Amino acid sequence: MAAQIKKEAVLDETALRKKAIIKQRIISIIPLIACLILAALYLIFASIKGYSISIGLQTIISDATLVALVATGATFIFTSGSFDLSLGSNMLVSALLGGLVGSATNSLVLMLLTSIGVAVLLSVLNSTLASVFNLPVFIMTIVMMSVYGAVATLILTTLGKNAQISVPMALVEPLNTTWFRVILIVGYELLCLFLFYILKLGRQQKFLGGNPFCAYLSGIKSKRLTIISFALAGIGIGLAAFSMTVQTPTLSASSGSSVGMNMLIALVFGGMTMSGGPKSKMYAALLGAFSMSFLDAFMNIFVSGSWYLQIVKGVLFIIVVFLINMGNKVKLLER
Amino acid sequence: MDSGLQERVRGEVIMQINHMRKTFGPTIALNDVDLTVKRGEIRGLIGENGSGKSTITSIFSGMQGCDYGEMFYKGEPWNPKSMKWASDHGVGMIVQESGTVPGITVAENMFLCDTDRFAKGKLFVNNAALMKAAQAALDDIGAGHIKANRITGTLDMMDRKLVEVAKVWMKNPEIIVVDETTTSLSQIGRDIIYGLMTRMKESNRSVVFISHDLDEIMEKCDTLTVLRDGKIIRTFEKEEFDPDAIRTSMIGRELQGDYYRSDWDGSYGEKVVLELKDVSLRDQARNVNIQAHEGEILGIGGLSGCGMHTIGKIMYGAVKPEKGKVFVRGKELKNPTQAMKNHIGYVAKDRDIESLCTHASITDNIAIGGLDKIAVGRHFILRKNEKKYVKKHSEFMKVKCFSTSQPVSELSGGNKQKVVFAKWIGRDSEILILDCPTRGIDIGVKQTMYQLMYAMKREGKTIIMISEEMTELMGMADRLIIMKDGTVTKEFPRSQDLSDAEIIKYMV
Repeated sequence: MAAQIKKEAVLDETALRKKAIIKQRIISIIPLIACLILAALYLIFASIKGYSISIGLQTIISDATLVALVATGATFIFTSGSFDLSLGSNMLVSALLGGLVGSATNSLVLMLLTSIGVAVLLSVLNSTLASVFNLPVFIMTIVMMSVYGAVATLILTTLGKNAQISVPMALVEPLNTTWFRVILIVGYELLCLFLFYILKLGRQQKFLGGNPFCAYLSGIKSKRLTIISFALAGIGIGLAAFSMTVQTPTLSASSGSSVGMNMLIALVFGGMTMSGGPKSKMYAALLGAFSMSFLDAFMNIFVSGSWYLQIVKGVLFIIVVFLINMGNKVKLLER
Repeated sequence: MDSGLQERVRGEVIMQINHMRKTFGPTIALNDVDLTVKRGEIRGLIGENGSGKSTITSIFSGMQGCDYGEMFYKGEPWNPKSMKWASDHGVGMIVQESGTVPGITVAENMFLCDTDRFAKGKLFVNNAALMKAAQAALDDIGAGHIKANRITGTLDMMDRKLVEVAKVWMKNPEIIVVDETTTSLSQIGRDIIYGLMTRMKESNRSVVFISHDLDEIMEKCDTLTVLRDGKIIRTFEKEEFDPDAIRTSMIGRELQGDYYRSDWDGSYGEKVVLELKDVSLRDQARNVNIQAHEGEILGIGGLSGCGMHTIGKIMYGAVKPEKGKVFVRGKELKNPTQAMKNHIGYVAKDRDIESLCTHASITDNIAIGGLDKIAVGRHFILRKNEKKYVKKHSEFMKVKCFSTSQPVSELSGGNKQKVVFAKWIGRDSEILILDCPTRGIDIGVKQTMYQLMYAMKREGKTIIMISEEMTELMGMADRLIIMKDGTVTKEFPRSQDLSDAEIIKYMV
């Protein structure tokens, strides 16, 4: 009996390591598997129920693009350990001002540049003010969310008609295609992947998010890096604002109102850690945005009503965050 | 109790562990471990970092469970539900790292899960009674200088540790585990722990004492168990204690070569590379003037609150002095970024908080110090170059890992410190500020660190070694500066005749 106990107690370290590596790899591809499952479920049930797959996919790409643009930019912020609650209101202000310039000049290029410029400016303003007042950036973004919301209302009531700003359909029509949206998201994603994985920047951001004090002692200028992160996020917000205007040329106070929440859900679904740091993944936003859009489309087959979808997404969000937290709990005793 | 009965009680087994196994992912922390501790025994546990000492005691103390095996306490099966549960039933543990909550009072920390004892009605706590009980417990262990109403975060590391000691002691434990606690204490704190250990032994209770300090463990323990790679290697009885045999058991081979440096030549270059001029900062530095030279190992010693750790941070530009300046090769130094550009490296005392991002991989932690070395065209980091850089320096430091993508949190203390060294050595640091570089590190890694410092000195590099361990300062430094209350009280040149007693006069 004693000999048997002894045999069971002695372990093979190589086998354990192999097992742990396999487990780690499986965990890392779970978001991709989830996305593929949701896509498959949608395609199967949409075919069975006789829905048009082509139209469905166009809607999915359109929804996913908007969320992915914002969420991909926000990944820079999250990675460096910050948080921005004003993304949605920033996007609205950028879209409104971009729309005004587009209408006034009849130029898509100026509309695009204005949207990006305003979004970057507002985003940088958040981080700069936080730096000036020495406040945590997310505190500043709570304040600025209200401020930008008020600015949007002011623009709509003073410069709009019936609290709406309309961009001529003829101006945006040529770009209101799925291909344009695909090019937009692929281009921005590639840029972000390059910045994140090929430049020093990404490594520094991850380290800053992982341990700010150690990052400081490692020569990383945290304030400068935070401002850069917000500026890069601003580019994504500006592109999303432009894309939203192209898609829906009549802008009101409710335009893009769900983007802030959807961005968070997309990041979590894509496997991004909310605390940022070294385990952050730049592609998580894109993956999560598509998972979420497939989920929306799948559920729309069976039920109608956005309230229902929001509840389901909310519940799934909590479950995924719970599972991530369980996985991140320190399992190893400090020795 | 008559002496015969006392003797019988003394021999009773109080703690027994059979065939214990514990894994953390791919790491085998304990592999078929048996351990028996008797009443009235002070049992030492010694071994390299990662050998499983803390794991075995933490399982017995209810901090975590095991994968396999059985435990007995006073002859009964023992399956603690939590640390508090174990503590309530007579098994207390003083942990290696900080075990207090910084934002609450000392008294609240001590009765963190026991405030019901001081309930006033259903909603309120009798604060006066809480304070009184906590102060009595602090007084009982000889730490009456700590006031129970102080906010714990305002205490220094030693006093915080003593609060933990009092917290464990006041439960009147039958077994106390002292896990690598003495390294964070000055002599006064150590004496308090030693006194408690003696009281435990005299009252037929038991102590499991974990330490890397061989002299200390040999002096205080009755028996000594050596662990290596999660296995029990040998248990030595008091009469078998032999430092060489214990060291050999610990590292699995004889310790070759010098431990500290062998020469007593305290010469160094004339060129001043780092200088503090009239530096002052609250009670941590009072008009401090220090010069470090090319090819010098400069030792800075003192009690833990003497200001030497702050001086280390000031030297690196991480803390700005209220008065005075820091110069590197004649140029003023203002922040860590400038320090790095001037080839200064800094190994902080608090390794997990200040020197490492523990959730990040070995690669991330080593590469972050050398991004400018790895970068192509200043900004581009090619994964191939990064891997090559990390591989070179982790192999040079002999970091024990199964892959450099392994998170640092999975490494032992000694291997974590090797990663920190690799980070700074990789970027060719010419001035290395080392704050307690061997804290909590086993003998084999210590020797590696000492020899590395000596090799760097011979290459003309400068080492500033801040330490609370006088023996290592005397063994390594060309020049030794002693600090007390933020001032430099004495400077000693390297000498074989220098004694602890002579140095301590200027520290206390």
